[in-house]
Amino acid sequence: MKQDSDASEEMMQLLDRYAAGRIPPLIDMESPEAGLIDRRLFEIYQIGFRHRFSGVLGVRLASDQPGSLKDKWKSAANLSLETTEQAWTGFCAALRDKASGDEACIACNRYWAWRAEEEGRAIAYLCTHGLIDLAVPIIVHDTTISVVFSGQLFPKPGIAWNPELVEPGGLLRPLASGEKGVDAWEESLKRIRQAEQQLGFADGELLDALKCDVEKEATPQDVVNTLGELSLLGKQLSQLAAAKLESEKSKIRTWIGSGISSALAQLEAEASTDLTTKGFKGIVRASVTKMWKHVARYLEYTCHYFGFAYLLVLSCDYSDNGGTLTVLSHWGQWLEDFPFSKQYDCTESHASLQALSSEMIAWRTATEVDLERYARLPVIEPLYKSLRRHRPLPTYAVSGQFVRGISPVLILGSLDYRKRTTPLSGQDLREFTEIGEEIGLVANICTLVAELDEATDRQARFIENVAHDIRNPIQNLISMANFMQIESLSIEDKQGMAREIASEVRRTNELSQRVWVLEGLRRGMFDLGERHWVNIFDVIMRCRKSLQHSAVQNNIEFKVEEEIREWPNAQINEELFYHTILNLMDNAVKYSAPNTEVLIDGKLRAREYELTFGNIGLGIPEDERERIFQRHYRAKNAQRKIREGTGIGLSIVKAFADYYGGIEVVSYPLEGSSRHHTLFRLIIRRE
Amino acid sequence: MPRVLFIEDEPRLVKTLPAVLEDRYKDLQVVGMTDIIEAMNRLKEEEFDVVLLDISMPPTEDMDSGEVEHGRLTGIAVAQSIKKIEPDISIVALTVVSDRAMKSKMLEADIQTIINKPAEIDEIAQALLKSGPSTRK
Repeated sequence: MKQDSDASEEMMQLLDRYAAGRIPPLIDMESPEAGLIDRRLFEIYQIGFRHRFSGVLGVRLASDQPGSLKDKWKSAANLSLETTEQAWTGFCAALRDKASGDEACIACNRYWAWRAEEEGRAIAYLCTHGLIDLAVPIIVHDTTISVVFSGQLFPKPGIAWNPELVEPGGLLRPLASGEKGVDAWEESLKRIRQAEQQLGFADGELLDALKCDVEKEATPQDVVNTLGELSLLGKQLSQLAAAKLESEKSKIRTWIGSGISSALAQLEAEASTDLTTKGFKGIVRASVTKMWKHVARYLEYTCHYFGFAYLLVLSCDYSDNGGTLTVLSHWGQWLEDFPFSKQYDCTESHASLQALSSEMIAWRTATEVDLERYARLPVIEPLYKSLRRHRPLPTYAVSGQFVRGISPVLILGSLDYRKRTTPLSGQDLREFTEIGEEIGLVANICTLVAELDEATDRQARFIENVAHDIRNPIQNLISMANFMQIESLSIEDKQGMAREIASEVRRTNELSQRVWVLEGLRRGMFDLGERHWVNIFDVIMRCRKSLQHSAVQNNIEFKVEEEIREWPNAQINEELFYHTILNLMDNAVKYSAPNTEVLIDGKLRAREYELTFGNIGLGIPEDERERIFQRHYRAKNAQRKIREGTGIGLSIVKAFADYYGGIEVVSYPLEGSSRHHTLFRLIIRRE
Repeated sequence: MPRVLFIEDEPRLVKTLPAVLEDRYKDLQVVGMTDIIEAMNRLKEEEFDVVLLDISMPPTEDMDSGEVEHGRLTGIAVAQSIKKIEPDISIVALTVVSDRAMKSKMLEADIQTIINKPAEIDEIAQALLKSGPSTRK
């Protein structure tokens, strides 16, 4: 399914707007139909005029300032509350000494916007120019997204304020200075004309419609009335904004979902052809990158929307990538000094993170938890400390839903209760659950790509190993054949060398057979179900003969339980069984310490044959016991010990065991020794 | 007479190749060793003109297994150690992998000649003779 390019562009614009903090856009001069309250500006003017304000009313959007809402409030908070409340006059005078009047207004507005937000209601205040201003917050889901202002800019020439409002007992206090600014009426007319043009009114149409008496100054009652009406309008706009937000959010989510589905569909389609081509991986990687970009923007918007001081998303996948924690994205202004990188190697804390991962999976839906509980986890600790240093606020981890139960997503955030009046609601958690699902889905695709990379690497290593394992014996054979031509060699030496050549040829032949069996299994050409009556003991003896040379070289002895000789024949695939036994015995020899025994024991039960292959030597680390059965995988300590090895033997064993019974492996250290006792237990069902 | 130290983890090759080379090329003297540490000690104690070195071998305990790619590049690390002991000695690599990246690593380790396995006896001998005492400073 191809993404519609126009829709994609629209969505990108929408996400860009959200990412910039315009949630949702209230006024969009470039695209009036996108703005939420363009037509309602008319109502704001009307309210102002009706109550004898000059009509200089406007909306200051949270997004008007560069940076996030937080930046803006942070700047406002720099104004001292004490100064503004107790010595407001002096403060204003100081501001007015500044070269730019606009700068003074912005600073003042910021402060009062912050106050309106703090109080969560409309407020009246005396602005820095000695005018009565009103600030009405628009609150969506507990978050102030913008503030509607009214201004009373010099209603009449020569009058800077209404004494009734500012005398003791009035609404506001007077300014010491009576400096004047621009003529309010002229300013009002100018703005009304601008509004007429912007909103598509005819010249004078808006002015006529206002029909208010602006000759008289606003009274205290006017201020109260204006506040009341603006508050009501603020509530209506809040509801409108919330509805628009929901609708746009749903649109974005549908789009992100369809993009992810498209990437998945492409993945599945290509997976049926060739999983390892560069082209395929390129397609998936490009899709995933694109999806991540979208999800990331969506999360950034979420950070604003939910009132999070920061948001961090972690995706942990312990079932497949063996303890690597991927930090997918993060936001927040207090995280600059946090040493993030794309991936954390969590080998040391694997168990604790795995526990957290399991816990998150158990939640199934987003759950609000105290981050302090996880503060001691190595990955979370620096984050936690960094946050606590900056913000003594409650810090929460909200975990999202986890797609297919394998990619738990941890969304960490700190709710800023200065901005938010309520903790996370059930609706919020449901939102997080859905976001978690989307992130989880993309995370799963990322994991698949990583697995593909690993599979490709393994395949390349396999080819190299096969080359190594074939070329080396051939080199040996060349040298051994030439050795036999040395005239001075005794007959006995020549006979011994001939036996070694035969053994080397057998070794090479067995490798080629293993590769053939594996390829047959991979391509589905090998019929696992083709059964023959097989004498298990005979097969073990054949394998022992084949491995005798390498066993003798290392002074290793095979001990086979004689009772197996008496077992009834098993109805299994003979060739695959031979390679299964050969691989298990070969492995036991390869990784045994010199001068030890390989014990092959067995138990015959009513419904199954049980064979065990025990040896003493190099153990298998616990966290690799499942992976050793993966095709081309070799345990790390095995690679260190023995260079040769293709990592295909145990995958053949696994294929046989999966079809006919099962396989288990245990490996534990021997007391007082660096050696391990390793035991493979093969079960074959009796048909 | 070039004196050659042959380091290789395949016991059968270590047993046969020196004998074959010495039998066919009387100018060559070849000492074969499977143990890297013992070979390095021997190099410190005796004088050799050339080292014939296998590249893919199990790493020694003191090597970082990851750095030598679990044995794939053991010979490169050995070559570096050899050059520390005998900076002027010639090294001939005997390897199954000789892709571009591997060749570049070998050149960095100052390995002058690379022979791909499987190789004929004469090819190995010629490489050793060319790298013999006449090339030493």
